[in-house]
Amino acid sequence: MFELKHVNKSFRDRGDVIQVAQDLCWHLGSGESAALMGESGAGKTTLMNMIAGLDKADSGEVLVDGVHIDRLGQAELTAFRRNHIGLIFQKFHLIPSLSAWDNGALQARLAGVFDSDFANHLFDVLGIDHLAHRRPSQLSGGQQQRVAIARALMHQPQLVLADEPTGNLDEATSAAVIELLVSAASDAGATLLVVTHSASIAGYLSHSYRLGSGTLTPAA
Amino acid sequence: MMRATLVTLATTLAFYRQNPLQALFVVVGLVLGCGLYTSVAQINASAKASYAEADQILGVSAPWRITDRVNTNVAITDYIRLRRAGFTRVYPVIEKRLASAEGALISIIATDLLALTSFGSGVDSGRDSGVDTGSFGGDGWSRLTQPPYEAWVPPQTAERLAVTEGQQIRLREGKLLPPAIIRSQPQQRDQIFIDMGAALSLFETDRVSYLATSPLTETEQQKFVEQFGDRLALSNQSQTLDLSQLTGSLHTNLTALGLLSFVVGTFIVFNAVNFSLHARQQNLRVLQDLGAVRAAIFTAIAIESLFWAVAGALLGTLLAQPLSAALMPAVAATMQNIYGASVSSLPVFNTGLFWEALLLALAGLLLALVLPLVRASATHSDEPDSRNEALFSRHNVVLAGVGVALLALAYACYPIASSVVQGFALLSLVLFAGVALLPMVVVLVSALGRSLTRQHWLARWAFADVSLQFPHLRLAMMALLLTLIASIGVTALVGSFRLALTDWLETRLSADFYVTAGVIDAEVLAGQVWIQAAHRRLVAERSFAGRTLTVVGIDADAPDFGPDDIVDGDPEAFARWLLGGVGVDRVFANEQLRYLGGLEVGDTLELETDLGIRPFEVVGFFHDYGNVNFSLHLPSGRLEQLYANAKPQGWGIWVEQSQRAAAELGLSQLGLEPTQWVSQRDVLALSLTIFDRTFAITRALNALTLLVAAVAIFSSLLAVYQLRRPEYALWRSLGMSWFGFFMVSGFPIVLMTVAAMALALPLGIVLSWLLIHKINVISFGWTMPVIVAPEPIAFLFVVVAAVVLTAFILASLRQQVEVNKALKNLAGE
Repeated sequence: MFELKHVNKSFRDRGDVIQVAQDLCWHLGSGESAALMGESGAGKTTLMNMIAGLDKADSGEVLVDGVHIDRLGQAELTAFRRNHIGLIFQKFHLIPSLSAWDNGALQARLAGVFDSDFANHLFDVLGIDHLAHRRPSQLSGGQQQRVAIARALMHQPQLVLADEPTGNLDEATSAAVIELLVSAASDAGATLLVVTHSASIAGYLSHSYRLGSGTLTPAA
Repeated sequence: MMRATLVTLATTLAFYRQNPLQALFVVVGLVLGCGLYTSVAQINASAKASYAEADQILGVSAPWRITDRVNTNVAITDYIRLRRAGFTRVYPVIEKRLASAEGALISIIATDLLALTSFGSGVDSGRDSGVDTGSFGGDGWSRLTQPPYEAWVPPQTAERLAVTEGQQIRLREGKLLPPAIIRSQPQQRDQIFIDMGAALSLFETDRVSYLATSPLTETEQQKFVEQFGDRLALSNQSQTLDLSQLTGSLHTNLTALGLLSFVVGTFIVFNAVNFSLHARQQNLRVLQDLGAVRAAIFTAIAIESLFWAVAGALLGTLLAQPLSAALMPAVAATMQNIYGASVSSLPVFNTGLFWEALLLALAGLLLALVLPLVRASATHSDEPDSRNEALFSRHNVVLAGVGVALLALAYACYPIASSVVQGFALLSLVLFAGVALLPMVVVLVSALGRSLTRQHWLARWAFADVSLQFPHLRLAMMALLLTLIASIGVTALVGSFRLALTDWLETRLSADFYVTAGVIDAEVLAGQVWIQAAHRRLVAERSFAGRTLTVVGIDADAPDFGPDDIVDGDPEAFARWLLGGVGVDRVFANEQLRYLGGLEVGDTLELETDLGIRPFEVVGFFHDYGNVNFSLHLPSGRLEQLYANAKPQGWGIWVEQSQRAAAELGLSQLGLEPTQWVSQRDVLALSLTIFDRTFAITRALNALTLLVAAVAIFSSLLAVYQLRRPEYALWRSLGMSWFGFFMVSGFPIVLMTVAAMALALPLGIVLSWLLIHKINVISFGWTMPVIVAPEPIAFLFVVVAAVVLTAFILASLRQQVEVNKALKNLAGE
């Protein structure tokens, strides 16, 4: 589904050079799921941003669904992300002025593929169908993250990228949310990459990788 | 405590190092607010200093005047007879308003310097004369009074007429004034001063406008009446209003505009301070959690505020110098044209104004700081932000209630407001009612939009985004609303003024030509084929309620007065006025008699006539723009019966449009000199030009206030974009196009601007209504129809839309770059 070929990426942080990727090669197939782990500051989020087209590699190739996204211009990249990628963030990033339903439907509507039956199904599966008309400020953290998951899946993307999706949730809620995310992504046939510190979260996914000093190794 | 304060100060000030633009907006808000207020205060102070100077030199400006009972001017032989009879303090004055060869208006004043008391026996000072004789010392006056004479042109007049020293001004009919000397006497105003001998020779006349004299004793008055009473009339001029009284409302108006600018400037400061405190909220909470006492935080913020206030007041006072210098000529023109008051075109710096500006800046900052500071320090770092939508709506409902209450209060106070200050308090109530109502109007329009676009998710989103942007833009939009209400109010006022003036001039100057009284008679005129109609008015002067009252005789068939000119009379009023009554005469009165004299239709006033004291019943009123005196209209036949010595005014002559050239030729062929007749069309055009110049000051102040509001919107938009950047990055991360991005993020400002315009329109009209029917009536005693012309308001809205759009585009210039940068940090947020 996505492939990184000989990717190099580094950035400077308070005078230190952080090496995120050093001749990095990585591939994750369709429908697979993986956890990306590593120390704080190792560059997990930067690596995920490169796959999402939110950041550029210094060199190498980044392909998503066979498309060289590192060669796309801003407008094409935005359109690609809109149609092919779903994003989930640690702090949910819902739009406070929209209802849960409108937040969930947002990316599908932007992509012009909104299907109300599928939306109802997804809200039902995620257990938030009764919260559809509430605003984000009227939802708990777990409920907000479920709405964010709905938003990431509703346009039925080939790739879902989640950055610490349970980082702001308690243990019980985390487990429930990750279970739902994995199951919903699997049902939708989407490839799922989750950035996490937690080994227990990684346990829900079919593969685990650890990033350190610019190289990627399978996690134990 | 000291250390805690310093640590807190260093922490809070660090924000401005990272956000220099916010520091700039605090300073810009204060500088613009203080600058505009100070410049207006400086203009007012300079104008008042000019009145004081004029008062000191002029005194009451020749309190007694002698005029001819029959003619509009006085024969020089009468002057000589008076002097011979012992009235040695009498001196002649010629005052004329003419047009130059280039069509510019020229006012000329001439007197006999040797007749002035200080040049005579030296018994009296120059205070009693119409001219500052003290300045005529040395050898200056001898050149003025001897051929080839001199014309003393004030510097501002010389500049207006583009006249240089030694040059001779050519009049429209070709005559040349004596060589110009650029100098002015303090009371000379815009008038060119020449010697009486030069004036008599120039105008080829042996008559003067009037004779003036210092106060006469009872015995002298009696002697005057006995010897000259049959031909000459003595009148006391001290009943006219003094300058400071006349100009009081204009100064209050200017001060109100200056304060409005300051309020709008305070909105910018409030916004910038509010944003900086909001951005530093976390720092303040952490400092509080770390043990910094509230007093230390307050002290640090107070020191910071003092710094901003001093910087703002200092720079504002500096800005006020070029600003008031630029505005002063327009104010001087207003004073000269409306009130005949001479004001220097150069403002005078007054150090007291700096302290005033500093106090205002501190007050503004205090207002801007109190609310956000209390909110910031009352919350601890582990507490969530207590603001939520319910609170906002409750807040908005309370504000809307306050707005309605303010309007109700204005309505209740309307009948009892009786002074200029109370009138302006009414205006403030309307302005602040608008400010209080704005949030609810925006909320309602937004809710209505959402419900109407329920099926369109993008429109629903755009409407929903209004509720996110409005809290940040609220103050800027309030500033814009204040500016809009004031602009619409003043635009409608000026438009109404202009139309009333045009109407008034066209009525008063409806005749095509005006021929000076006494140079031609009715029989000669009747024989001219080019004449369509010719009428003249007779005027008798009396006094009523301490003010001069003119009783004017009007020909019933004269085109310049008819039933359409009557306000508040019954439909038969004109016919009843013509018929007269039994034992009582029927008159039309000017509005000044209604508002200042307390008369109503049906009331009767008693006046002295040649037939004894007679009652006059008021059967209707007429607008009398700009007249400081009371006036009554009687049919001319009746006036001649009641006042045999009534003074005839000149002839108004109406001609067919095609006969204008023939008429001009005909008047010349009748032997009339160019100075003895005027083309009233030219006077009308000139008057409107002067009017437009007069109101340049209000246009300039409106434009400046709009500029301040634009800065407020720009700074608020920048703050909103900075605060919402992570959210905007999310929009892009979800694949939103830039077009969609700017549509959704720009829509709220469009909606809010439209809401502000919609609210400003009715309130602006109410404001203009109050200005015309309350402030004007209190100040001058006359009113006029309120005319709300759509064109200038549409133009104002287009300008505002352009200004808001510019602010939006400027604020959005770096949005793409900044949002792209924020995209990378989105996942880490």
